[in-house]
Amino acid sequence: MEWKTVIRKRFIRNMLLAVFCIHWFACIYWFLENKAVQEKGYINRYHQNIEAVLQQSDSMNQISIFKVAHGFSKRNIEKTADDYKKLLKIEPVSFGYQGLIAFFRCNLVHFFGVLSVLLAVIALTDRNAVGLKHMAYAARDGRGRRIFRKLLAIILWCMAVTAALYGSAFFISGCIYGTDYFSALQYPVQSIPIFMDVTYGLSIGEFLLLFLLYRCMFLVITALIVWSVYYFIDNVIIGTAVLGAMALAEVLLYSVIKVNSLFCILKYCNLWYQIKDNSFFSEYVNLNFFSYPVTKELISTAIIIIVCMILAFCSIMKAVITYPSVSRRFKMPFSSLLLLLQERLNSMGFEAYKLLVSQKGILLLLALLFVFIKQADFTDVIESGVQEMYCSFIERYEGVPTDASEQELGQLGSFLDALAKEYEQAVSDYEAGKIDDKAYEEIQYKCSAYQTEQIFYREIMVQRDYLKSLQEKRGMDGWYINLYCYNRLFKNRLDLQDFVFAAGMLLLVFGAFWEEKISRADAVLRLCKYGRRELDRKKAILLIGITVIMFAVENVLEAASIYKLYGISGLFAPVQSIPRLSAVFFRCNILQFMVLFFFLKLAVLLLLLLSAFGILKIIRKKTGR
Amino acid sequence: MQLMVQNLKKDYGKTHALSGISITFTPGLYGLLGPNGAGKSTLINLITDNIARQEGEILFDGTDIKTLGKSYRAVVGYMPQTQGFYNDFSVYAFLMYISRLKGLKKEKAKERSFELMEAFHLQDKRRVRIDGLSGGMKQRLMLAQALLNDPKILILDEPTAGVDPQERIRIRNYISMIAEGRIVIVATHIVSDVEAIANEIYLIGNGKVIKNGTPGQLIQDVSEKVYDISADYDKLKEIQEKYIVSNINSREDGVHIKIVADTPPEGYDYSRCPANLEDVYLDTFSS
Repeated sequence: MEWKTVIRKRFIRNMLLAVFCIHWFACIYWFLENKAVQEKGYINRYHQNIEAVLQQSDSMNQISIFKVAHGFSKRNIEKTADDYKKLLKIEPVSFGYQGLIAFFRCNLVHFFGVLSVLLAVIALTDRNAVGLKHMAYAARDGRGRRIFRKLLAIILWCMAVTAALYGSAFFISGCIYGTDYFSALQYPVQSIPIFMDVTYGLSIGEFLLLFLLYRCMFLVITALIVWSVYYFIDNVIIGTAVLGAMALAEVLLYSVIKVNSLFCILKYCNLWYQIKDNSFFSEYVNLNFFSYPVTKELISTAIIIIVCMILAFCSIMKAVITYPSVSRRFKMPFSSLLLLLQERLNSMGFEAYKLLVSQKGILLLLALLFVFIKQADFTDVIESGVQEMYCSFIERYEGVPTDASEQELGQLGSFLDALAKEYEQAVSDYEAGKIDDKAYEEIQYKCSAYQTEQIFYREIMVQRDYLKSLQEKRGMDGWYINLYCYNRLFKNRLDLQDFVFAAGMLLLVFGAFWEEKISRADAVLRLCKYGRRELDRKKAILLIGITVIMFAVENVLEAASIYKLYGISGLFAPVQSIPRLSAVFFRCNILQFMVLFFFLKLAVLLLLLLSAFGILKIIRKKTGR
Repeated sequence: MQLMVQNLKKDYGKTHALSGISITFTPGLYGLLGPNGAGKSTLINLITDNIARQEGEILFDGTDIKTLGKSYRAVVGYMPQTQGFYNDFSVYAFLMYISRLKGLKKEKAKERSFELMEAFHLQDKRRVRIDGLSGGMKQRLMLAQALLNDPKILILDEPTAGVDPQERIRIRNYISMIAEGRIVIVATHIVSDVEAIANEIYLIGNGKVIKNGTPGQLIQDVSEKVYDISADYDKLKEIQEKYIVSNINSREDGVHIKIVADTPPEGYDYSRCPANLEDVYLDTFSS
């Protein structure tokens, strides 16, 4: 009976439908944008890779620091070797596994799953239902049994959400890639490169079942934690703050704790680790459990079961032992100041107050700000030697190609050609037995030392050839500019941050209408002289203002992080200097194009928001509020 | 000043909420009485232009209210049945917000808000959050916001719902006091709220006006139909099944049952007794 509560509540039902629809579209978009590729030669190299791991274990075992008899390191090495030895018996099968790779790499599903179970938990809590709580408490089965049924309903919903979301993602990936799933199910899971390190002899079908089971368990524990927080704390604001702090703690623990730390359990038995991607299923990691290596799957499963049982037991006991409490009204910090502020607001100020304070829109904006700052990643540094070389070249020769730049590239090209010839000669000499292993290895080592230069040279020559063709075909003098910088600035596809931003703003639009609906003040408002179009106009202006500000913040942060990494220069170069923008048919410099680009991006976002605003207005009119 | 409702119809799917109501309101206090689902709130929502009408017209001084638009809304004050507030607003902030929406300038809004807070004894709750007020205070606040723009038409939907007797009398008296020179429409199913103060009462049932008149006229119409039966307790059930029972009063000498009937009750010891509006209500809606 309790599980029906979720679909009976119209708002929750509609939100679930919306989440599922967005999930499907997002998955289709993601699968089309992020093409998975077949790894060539993987099957042939499979046993070699396993042997390499075993050899590494052997050689590490020889090192004295790992030889401590009762130490975790020695035990871990031995366990790793034992686990990988089992994989030698497995014969992976070659088949078209791109669909499966795409499915396991699509991380959007996890977030939609968490969102769906959150909605189910919200539906099952007796929030703001003081009378109902007392009525239920006075009934025969209204205490422990009622809570037990609610907990069962949560588990059922987690199973349903897992089947619906992961099942649909699986189906969509199959359709897009044309993977023949039925025949693939019997192949060893190690046939897929990303699961090379799975040390269990499972078929793909068995692995998928376990994968779904684990995903369901993660959703259950997430749902139970959220349920428990709201059930025990019984105040939405405090509960949300606690959950936010827990989420932040999980992210920090995962980011900060090292793999070989004594606290690595906190890194891997961590909800953020489960939600962010599927590496739980592909990574081989043994956790340090009192100096014994234990697989993360075993520890995670045990922790999930124990925590779920504890939370369920405590919830049922609370219902049986304690009286139903009236939800405590949370006194906002500075509440008297807020009341004073209310008296000084003008009409636009009132709308802003309703949206940002009453509807807690400010929390949404702060969350978005956190996402922007995290994505901007000011801690990023240039680690790649190729990028460093490239940036140094561009710094020296930014602008139209000159004789000096041609000369430098010519010299480098000649040197690398000579090196390549030397290597070819060495190969043929080695095959002919003219040189020994040592000499051959020396030549190999010498060539590999210049690998960075080779990659850099290939990259810069592509850019140089492009600029040349630009001059020949279109008569434009393109510049050498930092393409790492500008490719990042002018992203040519939507990413998770864009979705999150758009979703956040849409939520804000929704909140603007929701406030009127839940307050039931709209009957009075609509009868006020300026309570209709003018009021809607104020809301629209407010939403546009907030969107523009957040958009500016997002792009300024992104630009600042790019500037910190690469510096931003060459703004007056023709925009066609960027190969990605070669199709721009009008002449302008990068700065002018940047203004236009961001203006159009903002315009599209505003169009989306205003369309949503308009649709909600129509729905409000049709449903008679 | 005249508010005319002509042949108003409104359906909700297959349900006919209003089936051609016509009423003309001039300055005075009007009561709309009827059971739940009679169409009172629908009529009110149509007059306040909160829902779209199917057929008919609503004219204020000869012009359709849709045509008048803002200028009509500028002269209307509305207290809905459901209390609708922003719970984290203070009393004063809420009044200021509504007055700005009603087009009052800041100084005038401030003046009116203070005036009404004093009139409704809310001045010491000025900086209290609305969700911290009692039910009676919230009702007073709802009435206060309806009066911010000194409306010519005041529409009150169940103004005394959920308040204690003292509060109810206070609100009733206030309504009576401010009705001078305005059209005041009070929709309620609490008969005593309008009996004493209304100039004219409309009894609405099944989306139609069943009866209307001054309280005196309506009472007069049923004065010959009200009887007081004196009987034993064991006859009570039988009487309840046969007649419309208005009141049951247990006394030392037995039970006195007030009934409304077209003909005198046969086989019982009865006497005539004075009628009131409740008897009119029962007579109209029970048959």
